Amino acid sequence: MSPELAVADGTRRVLRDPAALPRLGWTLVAVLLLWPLLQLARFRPAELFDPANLAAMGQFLSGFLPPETSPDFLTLLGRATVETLAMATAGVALAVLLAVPLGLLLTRSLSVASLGPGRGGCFGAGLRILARGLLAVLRGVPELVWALLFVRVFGLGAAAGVLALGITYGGMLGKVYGEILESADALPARSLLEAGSGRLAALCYGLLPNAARELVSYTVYRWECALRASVVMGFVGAGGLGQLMDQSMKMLNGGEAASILVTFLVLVLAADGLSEKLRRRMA
Amino acid sequence: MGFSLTGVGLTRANGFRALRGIDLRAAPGERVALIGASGAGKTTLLRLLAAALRPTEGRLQLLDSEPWAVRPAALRRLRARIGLVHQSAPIPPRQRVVTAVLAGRLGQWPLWRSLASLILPVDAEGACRELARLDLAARLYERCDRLSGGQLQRVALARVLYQQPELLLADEPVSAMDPTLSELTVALLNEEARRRGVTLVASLHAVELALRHFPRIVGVKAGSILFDLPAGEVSDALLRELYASDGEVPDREEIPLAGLPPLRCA
Repeated sequence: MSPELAVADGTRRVLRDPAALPRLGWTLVAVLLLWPLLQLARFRPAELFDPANLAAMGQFLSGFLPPETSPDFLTLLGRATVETLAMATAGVALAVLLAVPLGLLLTRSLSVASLGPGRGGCFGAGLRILARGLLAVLRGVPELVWALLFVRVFGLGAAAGVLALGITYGGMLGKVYGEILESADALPARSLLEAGSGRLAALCYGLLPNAARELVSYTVYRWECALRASVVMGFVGAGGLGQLMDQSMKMLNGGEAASILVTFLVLVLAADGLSEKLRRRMA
Repeated sequence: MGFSLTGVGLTRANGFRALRGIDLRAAPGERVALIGASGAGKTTLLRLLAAALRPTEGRLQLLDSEPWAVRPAALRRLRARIGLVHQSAPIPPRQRVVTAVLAGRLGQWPLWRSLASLILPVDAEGACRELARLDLAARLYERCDRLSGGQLQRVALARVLYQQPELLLADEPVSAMDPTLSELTVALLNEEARRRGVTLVASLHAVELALRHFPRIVGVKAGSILFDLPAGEVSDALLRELYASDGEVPDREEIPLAGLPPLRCA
């Protein structure tokens, strides 16, 4: 029974949540939109459990066992792992160098112009649009395409991967840095700007103490993504574990592929642990 | 020196007239208390005096320069000479007390010095000296989120003292402190202004505190100045007028319920 209200003029009205109907409506709209999209993507989960398909998958997966553990291969694997780590780390470092200035440009809470008079808000607004556009271009082109481009310049190897990662991830980091800084409490930085401080000093004293944890954990997460992305780029010859994986797959050597996958798992777990440790350290 | 406002008004973007027709002048070394009901425009007035807000009408002169007529770099230098103690301390909770206090001089320090101070505080002694005046020297290296509200407010005050501004402004600087501490803190602000011969403007909720410590009282009501008198001439009648809402204070029964019948859940 819905709660009812006794109103003095004698009529009884149902005490209804005015937000309920719109919520129901939007849920229906979402479902109606999602359904044709699923159809378009030919998403039919039942096929996963078709006995013939299950057998085919089982055969494919059984080729992965047991993982390859010969000393020769492990040496190769070790070298490729170090190369992948180097590629991801150098790529993310490059990305941070790109992202920091662009992200700062995006941050409205550091705008001296909003406190007046500056060179007029138009100049800053134009610069922000420009930076936003540049970041979109950087991350809009997938790293794989950048890698294909740079392999033609640097030849096969990690250098192309580093540059491709740096550019795409620079675009992602810049956008998210800007947004993290903007969602942090703006009051401390603003009060410093009002006391005559410069923008960079206001950033370091007013915004970073609140935002540093988010910035660090997002950067570490992107590093973890870069480790995984380096596999895909390895397939186009950008070096590291990916290239090794490509070779193993081409030679239908499932055992080697399994060892490489295990290595990946360990790397991702390590990145996760590192992020957790850093976050706790900065709490 | 000091400041002068002539016919200053401020209309917000939404059309609300926060301040109108403000004429106010203070000489160097003068100490002024702003009193008035919440929402009367005390904070807006202080932010105008801090060159943080631009008036939409009238003429504003701070420390012998016109903040909104000069070049951006000159405005920055001017702002570095004005210190405003905010109502709620604008300090990031994860910052250490020493850093929060040293931040007072960011407007005077070159960038390299500001950045170096983040790694190793360049003037821990100076910060400690200001904190000691507020009885907080022992908390120098503690993080600000370990402090109580009143302690945090005193850290924010120490920051502005460390800034050594030529125009000292304070917006409800004792709102989170107990009566004894409020008394000491307001006395300290006055002593600082007297000693360095700078102009002090503070808004206060506690009227007796204002009357006891400040020679000049400015009453703000609904965006304009109701009276500007020496503390001795502020009468009870004036204070009643200052704090009364427009017209009579309506009794509970008289508040119209917009024709709504009383609600009862069945």
